[in-house]
Amino acid sequence: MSQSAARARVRLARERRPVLTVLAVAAYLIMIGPVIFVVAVAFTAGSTITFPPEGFSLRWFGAAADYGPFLDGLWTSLLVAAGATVIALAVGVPATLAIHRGRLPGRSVIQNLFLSPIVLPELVLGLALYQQLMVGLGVTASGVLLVGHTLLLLPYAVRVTGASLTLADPALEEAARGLGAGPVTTFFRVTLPVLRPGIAAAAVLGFVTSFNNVPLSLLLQGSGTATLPVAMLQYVQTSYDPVVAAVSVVLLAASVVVAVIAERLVGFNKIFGGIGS
Amino acid sequence: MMDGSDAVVRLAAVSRRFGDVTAVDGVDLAVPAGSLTALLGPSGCGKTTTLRMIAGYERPTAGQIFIDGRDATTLAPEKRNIGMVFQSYALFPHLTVAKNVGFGLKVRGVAREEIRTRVHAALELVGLSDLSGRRPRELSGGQQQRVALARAIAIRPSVLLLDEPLSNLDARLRVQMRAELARIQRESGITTILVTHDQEEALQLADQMVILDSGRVAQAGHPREIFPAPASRFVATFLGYENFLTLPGRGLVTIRPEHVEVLPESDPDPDGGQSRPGTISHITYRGTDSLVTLDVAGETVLAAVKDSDLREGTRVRAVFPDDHVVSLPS
Ligand SMILES: Nc1ncnc2c1ncn2[C@@H]1O[C@H](COP(=O)(O)OP(=O)(O)OP(=O)(O)O)[C@@H](O)[C@H]1O
Ligand SMILES: [Mg+2]
Repeated sequence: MSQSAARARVRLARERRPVLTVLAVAAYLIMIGPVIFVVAVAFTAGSTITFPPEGFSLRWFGAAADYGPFLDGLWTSLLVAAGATVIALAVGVPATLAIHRGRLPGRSVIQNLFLSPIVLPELVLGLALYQQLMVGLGVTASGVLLVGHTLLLLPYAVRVTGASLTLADPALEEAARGLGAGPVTTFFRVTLPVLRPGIAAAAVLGFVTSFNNVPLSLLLQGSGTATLPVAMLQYVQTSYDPVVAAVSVVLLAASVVVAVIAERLVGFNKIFGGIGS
Repeated sequence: MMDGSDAVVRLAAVSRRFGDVTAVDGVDLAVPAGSLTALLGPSGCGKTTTLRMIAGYERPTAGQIFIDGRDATTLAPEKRNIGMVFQSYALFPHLTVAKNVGFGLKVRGVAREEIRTRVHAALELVGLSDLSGRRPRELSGGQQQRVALARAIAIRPSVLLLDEPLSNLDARLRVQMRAELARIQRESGITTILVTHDQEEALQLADQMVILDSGRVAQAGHPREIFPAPASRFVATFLGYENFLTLPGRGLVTIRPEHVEVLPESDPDPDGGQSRPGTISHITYRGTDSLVTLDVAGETVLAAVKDSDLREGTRVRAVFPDDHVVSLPS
């Protein structure tokens, strides 16, 4: 965004303050309202989803921990999210470097290829993978799930690390070479450290995106490969009790922890600043 | 005088083409040990490209580059032992000032104790020894530049390359850093090539000035040789000779505005110079002097005069002293 545009926006915000304030408050209420509702319900002592909750207890957290599919789902989700994040970065970071620093012919084509999953409907992607890998090649359900999530995260890995690479001065690497560092030393001592905030941001974003994904996980689930969101979805289709609320609260708490750690590590403006550009 | 025998850097008919553009076109250059050579010229004349070829970031498409007498034309940058200060400084953002300055020594495998001593000495030289623990983003532009300079000097390079080192600084800091740069270069004795488009900078700092025009050397030599005797209209224009006129018996000549004298029209022709009658069409006050625009028989002549009692519209006599009139090839 250009500076003058930013300034114009600030001016606009100042002039229309009352309207903006009302809108902002309304937006927060709409966002936070359901969260408060879910948190309250999770701690209810009663056995139905009612608001306000009937008394206070931790019984639904206990029930959630005892429910096998949730634990299996959590494990699957964590494994898939971690695995997909690592693979997406392992493929995405070198691809980003090649796109931005290399002298590849047709690099915009390559870039678009890596970014395409972001515009492809997940259902289409899921169906294609299901057809080709699971049915066609006989890849296991967990394998396909991992591939699917990796494809889902690849654009984030390329985008976010690409953004921090664009911001980095290309002369840094030349300076390192001039000071006597060969290409390999330059990569490990300069390029990678300079990219570290971008890579960390891509990892957090990728992990959270995979962990929260429903459509792709739903389509690619096989026996024993339901992720936690899928297990929760299946649970609420048959039972209507506060267990799901309790799980949601745990996830919420985990998200807050991740967000705080991410903020400490790299800062939100870096994470989200990187996405726009 | 420049046979290149004691040259640290020597370019022999070096050219660099980018597609249809010839950025550098058959440049010959010898940089004597311990000297400061300034590459000077307007934007796009090939200064940066020349510097980058010496550093090894660009390959010449023709010609050869010798560093310390060795053919370095195709040598990788890390094998050249060259200290370059980039226009953007290119300090490593994730390293402290001391680690930045020590980077080149560390990758060369110099012992830790010696790195510490040499980093300290380099920071001392640029006057920044108390900021060694800071990160680049915690420094001002002028300080960042000193760090970049210290980092380049710490490796004891065969030659120090500076690409417009002062252009990112504000006017006052630029004058201060120019003096600093002269001191550091003198104290360290490092052979230096400086790229600039500021003729004043080159005149003050350089032992050798190389003026480039569209990738070719237009003129090279000591500032004291070049400044009073530009060899072409291009060089003259670049050095601030603003008057170009044809004088009887001398052909096309050039003269600086501060050397044109303005006398009353009735004065006789002075000795040792030619004069022309003209009219003052405009006067611009500039503080220490006034720039007088004269209409001399349809041609515009600029004169910088201290005298302030001149008036627009007055008939005067513009005098061109022979000592200051430079003949140009027409
Ligand atoms: N990598 C490149 N690809 C294509 N053309 C280039 C490249 N680098 C330089 N050029 C061209 O070569 C010519 C010389 O460029 P160079 O950067 O050397 O000029 P300069 O004298 O440093 O100019 P300035 O004072 O503006 O920095 C210009 O016409 C430029 O457009
Ligand atoms: Mg340049």
